Amino acid sequence: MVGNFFVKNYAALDGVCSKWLCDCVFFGISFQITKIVLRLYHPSYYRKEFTEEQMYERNGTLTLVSSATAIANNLSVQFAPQTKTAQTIAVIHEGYINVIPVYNSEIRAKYIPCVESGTKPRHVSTSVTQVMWCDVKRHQLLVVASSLGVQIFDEDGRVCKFSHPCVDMPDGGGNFARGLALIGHDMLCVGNSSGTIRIFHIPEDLDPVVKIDHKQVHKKAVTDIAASVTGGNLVVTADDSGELSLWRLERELHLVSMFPTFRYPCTSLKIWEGFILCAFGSGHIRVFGTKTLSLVCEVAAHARWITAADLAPDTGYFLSVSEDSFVKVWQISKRDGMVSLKFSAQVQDNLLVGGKFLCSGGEKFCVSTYESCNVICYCA
Amino acid sequence: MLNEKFLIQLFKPQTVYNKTALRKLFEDLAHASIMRLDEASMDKLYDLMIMAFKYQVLMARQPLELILITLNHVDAIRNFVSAPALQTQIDKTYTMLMQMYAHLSIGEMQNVKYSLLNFLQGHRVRVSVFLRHKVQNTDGTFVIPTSGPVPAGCEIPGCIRSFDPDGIVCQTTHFPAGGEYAAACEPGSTEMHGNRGTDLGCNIYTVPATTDMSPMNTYYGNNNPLENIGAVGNGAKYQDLEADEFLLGKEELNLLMAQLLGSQAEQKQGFGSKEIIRLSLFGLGEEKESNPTLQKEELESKNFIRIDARTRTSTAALEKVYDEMTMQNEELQQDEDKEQDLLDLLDSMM
Repeated sequence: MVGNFFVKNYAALDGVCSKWLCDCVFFGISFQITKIVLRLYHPSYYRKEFTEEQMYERNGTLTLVSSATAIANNLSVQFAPQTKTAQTIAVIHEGYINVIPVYNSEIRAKYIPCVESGTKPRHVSTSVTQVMWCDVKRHQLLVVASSLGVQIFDEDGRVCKFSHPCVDMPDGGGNFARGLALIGHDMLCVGNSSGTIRIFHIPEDLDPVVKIDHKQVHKKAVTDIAASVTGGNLVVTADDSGELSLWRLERELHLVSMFPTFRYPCTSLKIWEGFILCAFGSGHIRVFGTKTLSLVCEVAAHARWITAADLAPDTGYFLSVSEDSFVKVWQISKRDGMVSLKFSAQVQDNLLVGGKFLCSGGEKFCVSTYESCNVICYCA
Repeated sequence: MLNEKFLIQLFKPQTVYNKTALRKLFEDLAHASIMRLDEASMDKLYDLMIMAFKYQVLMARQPLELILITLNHVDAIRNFVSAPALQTQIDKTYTMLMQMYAHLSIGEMQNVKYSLLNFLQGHRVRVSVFLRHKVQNTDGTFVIPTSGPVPAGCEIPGCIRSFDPDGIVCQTTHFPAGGEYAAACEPGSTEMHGNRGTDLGCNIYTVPATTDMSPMNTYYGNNNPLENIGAVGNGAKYQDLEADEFLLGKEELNLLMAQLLGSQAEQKQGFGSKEIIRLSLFGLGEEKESNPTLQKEELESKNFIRIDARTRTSTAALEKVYDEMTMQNEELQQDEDKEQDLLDLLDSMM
């Protein structure tokens, strides 16, 4: 019937041609209708109405030598000193550290065992808790916190320059160091399982490394430590019982304020532009002001334990990863500490244990998963 | 297994057991009865145990749930056991558990959870019951649900609150959180007996009463199918395999009563399905000595039926049984006669 319509109006066309034209029109119309229907009912279209178009996209995976262990903050990044681009990442597996290149495949992947310096035991029974690269004067150092205490290696992780057991109760077992931060340019802050902090001064030649302070800051094991980058020598510490304290370092640590406890511990801390950013085991992100010493903003961010968080200092982007398998990127306002959501993605069935930005502007980041050798990268 | 000496050793603070020792312990436990398993079956049982426990640890919404899971295990053991000496052992286990773990902070419990997860890292065996209920993927990893209640003390994600320096909320904004989470439930009880608030640690093989296994038909009204299974505390919805056996036994007893009583049973149909039928086989005299009060109550109860086997009943089946018995008696007598003849023979020979 419709074919007749075409034939009538375009007398020059023969039967076959008109049928083909008919099919095209029908196809075109049905395609448009399908697009409209999908636009109304497809879930990803729905999401577009609420948030801006997805800010980041998955951009490949990096492969580790062995799978990531379940511990908090289980991903660290080494930045090249001059260019500030990410060179390698480190992910912990029990008593070993996976170090793999990010972009440059010419850099060899390393699998570093955490052992007492000078020994080569057949079975590595230590547990590494945290790994951090830091720039001290001319050197880039790899600092490792573990059940052996703290160890400072050169940037390759080969030569151990310094180690300290960081033990307060030699007779109780199960001691470990956890919580690493660099204060200023040459002061390393290390927490431990008894709730104490040791501050070491690292000189030009890396020798001798001297302990300049040792203080009991908490009742339970330290979970994380952060120091302000822009000076003021502010240090914030948190422990397993949910305590959160702010200190100032002037020859020794002085307590500035203890924040109210929220029962769930804070797993990851950052200080930026006068604000303390904390990610909690209850799934909350809280922002405290360093001047007002009060809670500025509270976000019900995740439904489960937040295992790691990171901050991009140039833009104020804040990354959080959680056991609920979600990774979320937030924006902290420099002016008033208010938080807004920029990006959210579910990494299906992945218990995320680490996440870090790969550049100071926050355009790239990657996340690590429990029991997986894959580190998933995202790019804006 | 819950011997006090063993428990004292077990509860000493120590690092996580190594895998070979745990496997050996498990084998010893499995062979403690007369059951014998070959290598392949032992492997399968061990893998099943490891994967089920890994599932429980992974699915614990917050670290203190590990204590509730362990208490579910202890409750299940308590249900298997009837001897009072063993019940005391279980009570002691409970006390030691609570002494060890009840005072730990959430952060310390999270360290325990991570130690367990790291011990179980690498085990990726596919378990058919988990695959069937879609809580495990085909590569062996477990599904992490994005729905269900948030743990106690947590909030449904989606809210940003700003505070003024006095601590008063001055602005609230919302954002799409992803997932469909529900508000936290009451935390489970850690008393010696109580509702633990979680199905993790309960029997995963209890059969639901309805065959409807659709994901919509769930405990919390969310999409977690496995919470259907093992919902021992869920009352009317499900029944145990054990309850099935009990009903079967009841039916058999009812059949026996029908045979013994013949027509009388029909009059006494008001037994109901809830009453327990007891047979006392040895006459009133013996029972009076052991349990005088109970006997009196039974005599006064209308449901007490006396069956006297000396009087013949009209049931054909029972008649047949009687006849068979008398035959045996005659045979016995013949044997006795034979013996006497032999003795006589011996005497006569002497």
